[in-house]
Amino acid sequence: MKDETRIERIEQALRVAYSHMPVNQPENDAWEDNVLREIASEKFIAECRQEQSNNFVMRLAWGALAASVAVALFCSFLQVLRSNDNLPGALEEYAYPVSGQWVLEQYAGVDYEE
Amino acid sequence: MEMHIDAEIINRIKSGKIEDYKLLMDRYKGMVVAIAGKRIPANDVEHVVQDIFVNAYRSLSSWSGKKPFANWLSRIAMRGCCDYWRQQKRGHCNSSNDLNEDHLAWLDLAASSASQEHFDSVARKHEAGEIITWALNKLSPEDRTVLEMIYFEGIKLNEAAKVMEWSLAKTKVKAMRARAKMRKLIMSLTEHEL
Repeated sequence: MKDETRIERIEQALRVAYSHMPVNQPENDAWEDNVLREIASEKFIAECRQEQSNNFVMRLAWGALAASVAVALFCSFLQVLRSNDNLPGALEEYAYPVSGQWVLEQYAGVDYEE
Repeated sequence: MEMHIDAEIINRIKSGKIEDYKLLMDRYKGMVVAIAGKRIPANDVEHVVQDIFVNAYRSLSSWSGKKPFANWLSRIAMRGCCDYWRQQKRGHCNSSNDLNEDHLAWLDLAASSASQEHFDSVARKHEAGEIITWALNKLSPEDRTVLEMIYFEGIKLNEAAKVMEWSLAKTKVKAMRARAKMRKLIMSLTEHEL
């Protein structure tokens, strides 16, 4: 029998075997009392409260970080918009000297209107 | 309906009636014991089940109420089992007994089984359970958990991903690698026979 087929058969048998494996039961029910005793203990309640407040502080810190990143992004976006607003004006400054008429007057010395 | 009952109990617990947690334990102890009892050695089941219920109580506020409480609790239970094996590895208490001639004979028997009935009778032999325990003990806690869930219990990949808090892609890769490791272990055993 080929090795591959052999391994596959063994794997299949192991899968069936797993489904037949017994479920181990706790030896007694003391764990139930222990759980209830633990969650009712003052130490445990204090720990849970501490954990909750730590989680709250962490959430607050992450919230503040996310908000400041969002504000920074928004401000830089506004900055880009504002600089774009200035663009047509800036172009106008250079628009006049390079007009066709001015170039002809300066370099060709020809007055076409005459 | 079940979710409604659970939500009611949890609301009462959150409002201070912590003794009502016993109601939740009564409803779900069978499920939790079944999960832990299958994965944990008999003498440690008690402690692991206790830890699972304490951890569930501690994170009760994170249950959204949108999905069944049983699903949420079963994830905590499976993670609890994974944590148990992690601690065992850390403490080097991993007692994996070596296999003997009987186990090798079982492999031969399993490989020659053709019918489902034969598979069933072979699988019920105690050597089979010992080989599974031996192989699982050789794997990392994560590999072990993912292999048990996907390969042995047929849990879907996306459900396993939620339990392990991994992405679907990572779970797929991990499951594939864990299976390859298991296969290699079996091959190392069968080589003894060749």
